[in-house]
Amino acid sequence: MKPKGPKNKNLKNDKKEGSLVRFNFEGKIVEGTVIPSRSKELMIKMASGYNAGFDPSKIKSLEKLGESKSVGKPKTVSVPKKEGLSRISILHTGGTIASRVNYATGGVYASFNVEDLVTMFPELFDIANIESVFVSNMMSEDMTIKDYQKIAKAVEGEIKKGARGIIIGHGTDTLGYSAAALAFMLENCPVPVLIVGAQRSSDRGSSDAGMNLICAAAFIAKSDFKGVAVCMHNSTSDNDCAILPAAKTRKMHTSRRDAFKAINDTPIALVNYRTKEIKWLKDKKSYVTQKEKFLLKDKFEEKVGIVKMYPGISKKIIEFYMKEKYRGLILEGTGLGHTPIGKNDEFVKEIAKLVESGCVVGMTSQCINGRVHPSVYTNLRKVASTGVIYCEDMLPETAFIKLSWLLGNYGKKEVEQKLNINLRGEITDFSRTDTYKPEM
Amino acid sequence: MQTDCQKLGFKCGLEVHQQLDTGKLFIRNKSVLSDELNFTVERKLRPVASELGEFDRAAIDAFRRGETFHYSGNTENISLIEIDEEPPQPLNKTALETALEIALLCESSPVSKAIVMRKTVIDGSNTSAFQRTMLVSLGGSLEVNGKKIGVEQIVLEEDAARPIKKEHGMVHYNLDRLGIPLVEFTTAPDIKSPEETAEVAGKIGEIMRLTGRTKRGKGTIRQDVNISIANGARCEIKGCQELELLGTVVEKEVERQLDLLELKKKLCQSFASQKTKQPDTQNIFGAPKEISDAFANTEAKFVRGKKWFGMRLKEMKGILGTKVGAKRFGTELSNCAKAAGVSGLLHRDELPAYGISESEVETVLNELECNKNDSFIIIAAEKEKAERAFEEIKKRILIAFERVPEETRGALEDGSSEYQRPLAGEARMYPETDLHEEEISEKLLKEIRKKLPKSAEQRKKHYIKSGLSEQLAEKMKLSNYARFFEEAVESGANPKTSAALLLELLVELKREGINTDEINLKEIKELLVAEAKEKIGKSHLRQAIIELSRGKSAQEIISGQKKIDEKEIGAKIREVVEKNAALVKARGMDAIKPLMGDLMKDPALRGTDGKMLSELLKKEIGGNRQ
Repeated sequence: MKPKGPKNKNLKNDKKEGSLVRFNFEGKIVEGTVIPSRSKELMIKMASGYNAGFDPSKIKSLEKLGESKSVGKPKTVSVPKKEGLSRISILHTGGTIASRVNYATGGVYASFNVEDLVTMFPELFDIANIESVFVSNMMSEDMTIKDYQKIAKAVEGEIKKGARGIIIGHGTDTLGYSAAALAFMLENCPVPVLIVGAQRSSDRGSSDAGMNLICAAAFIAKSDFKGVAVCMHNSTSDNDCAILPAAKTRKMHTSRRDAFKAINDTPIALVNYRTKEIKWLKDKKSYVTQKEKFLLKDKFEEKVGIVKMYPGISKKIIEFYMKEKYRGLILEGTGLGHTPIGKNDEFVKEIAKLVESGCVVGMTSQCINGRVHPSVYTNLRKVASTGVIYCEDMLPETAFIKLSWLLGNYGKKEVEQKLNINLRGEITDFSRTDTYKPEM
Repeated sequence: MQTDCQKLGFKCGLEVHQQLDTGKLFIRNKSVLSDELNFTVERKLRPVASELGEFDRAAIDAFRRGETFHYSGNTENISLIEIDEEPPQPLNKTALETALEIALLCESSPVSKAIVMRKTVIDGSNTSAFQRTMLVSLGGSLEVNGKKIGVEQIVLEEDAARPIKKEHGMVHYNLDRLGIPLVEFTTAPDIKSPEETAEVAGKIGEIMRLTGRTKRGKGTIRQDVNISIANGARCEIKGCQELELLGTVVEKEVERQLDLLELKKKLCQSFASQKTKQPDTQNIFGAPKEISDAFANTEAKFVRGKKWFGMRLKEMKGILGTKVGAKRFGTELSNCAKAAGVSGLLHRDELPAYGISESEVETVLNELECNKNDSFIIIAAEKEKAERAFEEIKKRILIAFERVPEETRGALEDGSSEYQRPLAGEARMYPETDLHEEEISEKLLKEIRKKLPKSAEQRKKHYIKSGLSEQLAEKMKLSNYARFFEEAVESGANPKTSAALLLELLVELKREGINTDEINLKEIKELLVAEAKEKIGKSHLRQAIIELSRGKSAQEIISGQKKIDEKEIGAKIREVVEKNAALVKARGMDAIKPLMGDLMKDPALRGTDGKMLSELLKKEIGGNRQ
């Protein structure tokens, strides 16, 4: 036993992270590995598996037994290519789907290599030869236009390399925005590009990551789908995934697996997790025929914003966009597409000024469900007459991405003309009766 | 068995799991059990690499079975958290304080920072595939019959979902139990006999009940025992619900391990190679083969029309029929096969039976090329599943040549147990990333120490001294009302009246369908104190509790009371008796019934205890007749 007393010179060294230590805690011998601590307590991962913090004043006779086994990565397996299987590229951008737990610290880190994928989801490799491509590592709320462009370039690269399809692993918070951005950038996309996220991290056996990835891979391998779509849980059960239209999909729940829903539209198809069977909910033909040549149009205008209307909103908010010389603004109006009119029409007049200044202004609805209409009410007519473009049944977020993309690639006239015309499935011709269902 | 146990090198430790009645650990909804299920979620769980990069054995076992889990609940009391669709809410502080109280009651030392961990559980009993668990304290001891039993640790964790049924590879769970706080109390392996096991478990239960915050009734306390004998292995037997059965469970496990050691000897001898003297196991197992044709015309209903596969076991005739504990070695193999996803197996030593004929057995023997000393196992399943099961059986047979395997077993109603899964590996935990660490400050501990309950014996003595009968004191000492009772008495309530109300009246009213659970104890205390101060009659308490249950406050009830004192009651009774003097004279005690009717109709006496009235009336009539 070492001499007692807190002045032991080696003590500090012994308490280093990763040291395997033994000490007496109020009469009980504790053995374990020192792990990082943010307070005065000595944090120990004990042999029993528990982590706990110990008040240093209650610790006696601490001795170092050695260094702990290196903590971290799963044992990995190499993956031979299988003949007869097509190639699917998985592009990693970060988010929950890529996150692994550092078991020592409890912190989260990202992992992207094929070996990790095969260790975690071996079934994927029975469906296709999987390539794993690192694009970025970020939580999706930090994504910007530059990241969209990077992802699109990577998709183009994989298409050129002959991928049958592409899966993009993505954080879920802004997954809907990215899906819309990719849909616009990849014109006449010749392969399936499926964006996949996870609402439960992969460290837990109940994670949705595996099923979402496997269903996406199965859909790519078994269908001739062309274009961009989202693949996520259809319900809270692990039965099937929904293939959702990229420009009409929105995160509708903060935490559920089936957070992503098609809005003012239905899913394109369902993929059964157990049988891998595909059930088309839309006319398959329009999704499998290649109309024209694939083009990457990846420019965006950054000076585009989105503003939600609310009771008592100040006209100064609109003024701000004019002063800052914004080129585009999407309004999330109330109901059918209202804004307040203001005293002596001052709010509407402010919008008119903004339009006159050259900013393209689009109107969507914060109802999310349904279509905007420019002339049902008098006040609506006042707003419409300012030159605001009514964006039909387009999601506000999609309208924002679309406007930014249009301004990046077309002249103003063309932008105004294209904003409320369907380009990528973001606007439906008619409002379906089966997209907004009452409780059964 | 005491001396035997010593000779055998018997070691035993206990893990007692007690549900707390504090609401769920990380969910703010009611923790009520309900069989009214109105929704179901289906999930599959996948094993994940543990923190050391290794897959957990138990986890892989479950995933290989390809199980789907069905979770059902009632939308009124099951939230998104139970179905793993929302992050947990902050820790229930009352539950932590209760666990700390239990720790301090047996001098276990609380850690300074408790960390909520995710413990991998992939048998489906947790929707998240992990159980949230936190170490609360280490060390300590309890005294049982003058002997010290060491405390290993005290843990606070979430209870798992309740299995309802298993069919077609799908396990059904009720979510109501998931998330109820459990205190896991683990002793050191200091227990030296089966009898002592039950005594220690009883003592632990008593300590936990002192807190007054434990759930009561069947299934709210469960014991796991860790047993080993010299040359045997550590086996964990889970889920003994009956304290009385605990000794039997331990005895039967010792017997099972002894039988396995005996079997090992027998196997090693009969398979010893001439050269090396070591057992030669190389040629035991034949290749699994489909033998469905053997049963083409069978009489046995459960055999007909299924795919059957068989495997020859060379020179093993009689081995599978060898007694192992309460069952046979074949049963051990059958349980392994079940864990691999098939519904069981049949072996030569038990056939012909169950409607399978002698000639069918002959056909199987021929098909599998068995000679007279060989045995066989047959399994009905799809090819892949059957092969997987045979692999597990082979492994288990080879282990029998070497040792008693370490495993987790489930207790059965007769005190025996069956194989569930390999003993879980150690590296099954990592921190819950959705929650903060929980500080256990000296200040908090000091507060808990100040209010630490007295021991059950001390309580009882004290209660008797304050005037309770032996019987009421015994009942009160471990009641969840004990602390409230003491508090009420301290505030001036009458001990006898209070105890009778809490232990008898409330139970009685509940049985009559009155919702007494929702009544705030503060209100009851107010009533009891008022009773002691004679602001409300003792005979009115029953009615008052009913009114509390209907939402009236104690204050309203007390101030609405027109006090009827015994003098007034006495006067009324005299009045009635005098008025009916003739009747009393003629019928004596038989006049009580009609006179009571008159009394009860008197508006001034409404709400008075009938029993008391009738006693007083009896006295009055008795007095008059003398």
